[in-house]
Amino acid sequence: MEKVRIGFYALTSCYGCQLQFAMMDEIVQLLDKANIECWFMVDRDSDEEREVDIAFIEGSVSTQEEIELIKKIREKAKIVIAVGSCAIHGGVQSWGKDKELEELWKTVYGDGRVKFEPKMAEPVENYIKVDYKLYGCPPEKKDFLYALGTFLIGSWPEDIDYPVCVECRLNGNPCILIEKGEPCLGPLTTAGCDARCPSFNIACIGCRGAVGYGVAWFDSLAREFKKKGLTKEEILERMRIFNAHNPKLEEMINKVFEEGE
Amino acid sequence: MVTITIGEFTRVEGNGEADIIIENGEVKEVKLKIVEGPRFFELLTLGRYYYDVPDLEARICAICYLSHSVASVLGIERAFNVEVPREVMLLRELGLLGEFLESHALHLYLLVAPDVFGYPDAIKMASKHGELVKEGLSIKAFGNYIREVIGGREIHGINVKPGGFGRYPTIEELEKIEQNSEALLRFAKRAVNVFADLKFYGAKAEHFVATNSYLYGDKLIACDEEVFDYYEHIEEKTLPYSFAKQSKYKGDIFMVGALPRVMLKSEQLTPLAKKLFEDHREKLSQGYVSLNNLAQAIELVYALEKAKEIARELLDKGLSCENVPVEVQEGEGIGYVEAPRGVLIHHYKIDSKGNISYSNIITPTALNHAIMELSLYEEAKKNYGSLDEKTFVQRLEETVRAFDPCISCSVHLVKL
Repeated sequence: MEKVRIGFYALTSCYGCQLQFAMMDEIVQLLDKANIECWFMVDRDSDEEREVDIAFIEGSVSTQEEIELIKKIREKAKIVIAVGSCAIHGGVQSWGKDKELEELWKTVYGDGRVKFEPKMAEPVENYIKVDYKLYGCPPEKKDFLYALGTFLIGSWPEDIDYPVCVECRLNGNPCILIEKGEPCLGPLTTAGCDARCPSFNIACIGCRGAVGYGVAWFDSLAREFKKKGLTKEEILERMRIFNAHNPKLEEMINKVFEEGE
Repeated sequence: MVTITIGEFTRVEGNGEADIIIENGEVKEVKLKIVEGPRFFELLTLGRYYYDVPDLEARICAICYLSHSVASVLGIERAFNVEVPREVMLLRELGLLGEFLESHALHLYLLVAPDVFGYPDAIKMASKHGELVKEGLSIKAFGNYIREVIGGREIHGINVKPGGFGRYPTIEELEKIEQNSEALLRFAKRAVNVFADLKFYGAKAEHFVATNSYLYGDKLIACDEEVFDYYEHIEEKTLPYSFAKQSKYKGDIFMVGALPRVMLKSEQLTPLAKKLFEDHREKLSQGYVSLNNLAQAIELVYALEKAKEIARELLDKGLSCENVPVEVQEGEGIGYVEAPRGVLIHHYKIDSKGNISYSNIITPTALNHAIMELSLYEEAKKNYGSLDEKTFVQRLEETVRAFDPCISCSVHLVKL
């Protein structure tokens, strides 16, 4: 059987997604079944020009060069997977998508001149078709293992359609929203992290993105938010940290707060 | 005029390149360019409630996220005049030591060692020096374990908060940290031998700068015995060819990182690390930037000894696991932390509602930009014409690598 050809590419990011996967113990076994055509962090002999079966892309699209790069990747790849919150929703750096780039630029660089043309951070999907998404900042190791493993046996991985609360309950954690009144975003956020932050007694910050489906407890959730004095605007603002480019976000938040009326 | 471009050392706080400009057969200038897209992290936090800020700033860098969250937390606590107990500070130190172990091991064993033994990369080196690679990976894995316990996740954990932690480590976790620190020490000692024989290359910095405590501080110190806040003597300027700014100390080129730390703060080293430092003091005093690698190896010993010491103290005293309440008030604060690759600065002003009104972040790779450029220039000048082009470029790569510019993973270039 021919080996599956894999590419891992980085746009503007902290490189945490690929670092996470490159350091997995299991990666060695997986890579035995695959040929790495391009993954600069792991393999010196990497080339962006090669054709691949699966392309993993991390990072937000933040320069003109990156637009060209992902178009090229799309042409050369059978399956494109957006990895992490930057590639999927633009990441934390796209918080200011409605602001003027020139204004931001001036604040950081003053009148100093830099000979490059940057642009606001955008998700990969704004430019090319994306076939599958690995959520999280960074995604969990098992996300990567599951997706790659499923593709390697010729199947297609499934989407997660339930929120972090499900996993948090299973872990038996006390509820941070109800008991501490903190703005935990777990009820609105896609699961898969095993409720990592709430298990550390920290309110979920929504790094895996808004769950894409309505859930049964939207109405009670909205009442709970209101009871704790958390407004729609506050929740929306906090969700925007990792969801700036999520087209469904506002619709979902509206739905939550309407159902609680 | 000819320009040799060293394209894509893909990871110096992102994407970097160098242009070597040659005129009449001589190296005239070197331009070190950071071409990673800007992310405007400082602005990202403006107007935002302080509570989420350390978690956001962590996302600047995957390799040293804990340094960013601790620096951010220190800045915020100073703005609010919050004093945390020794227990909290010790646990933060433990986290930073984990980051040293993880980052230094990756850099030394996987990126620098292939240069020492003459291999193109660690994978090919492993066939002959498998044991060494394995030792490095076990130190690295242990560093990541500490980061997960203290930080909440190997990468971008959220456990470090103003006033304390979300969750405190268990007795079992502290015991495991104590035992592993002891067990790995002999590997770290061997690393010091391996990296003691490195050739001298790069420039000599005119000044060294570090924080006043070994792992963090409330002031910066320099080799001219100045104790200061960064804005008093460090000046940043924008370059036309780079997204990263360049800094000078009192108008001169300076260096931050492991070498400045051991040179300025040897008194604070742990017993064995101190002894190893004394053994190599003469060599380290030469000040060439390549010696940063040896200093990092000594710091592996320090980090293991210190982690063991902290775990033991906490086990003896027992953990109270109590956070200090944080009361919002208007204020200004600076957090100085020694990230694995040098001084990291987070400076905030916070308004009476707890929202950030000013933010300035200066990273070690930006502070080292000028000395990196100078080192490339001196190496290029010394070797241009005498080395063939492949070896010439290789030497320049090694020079940049000595600074461990962010996860230098990718400073493995080379597309000429």
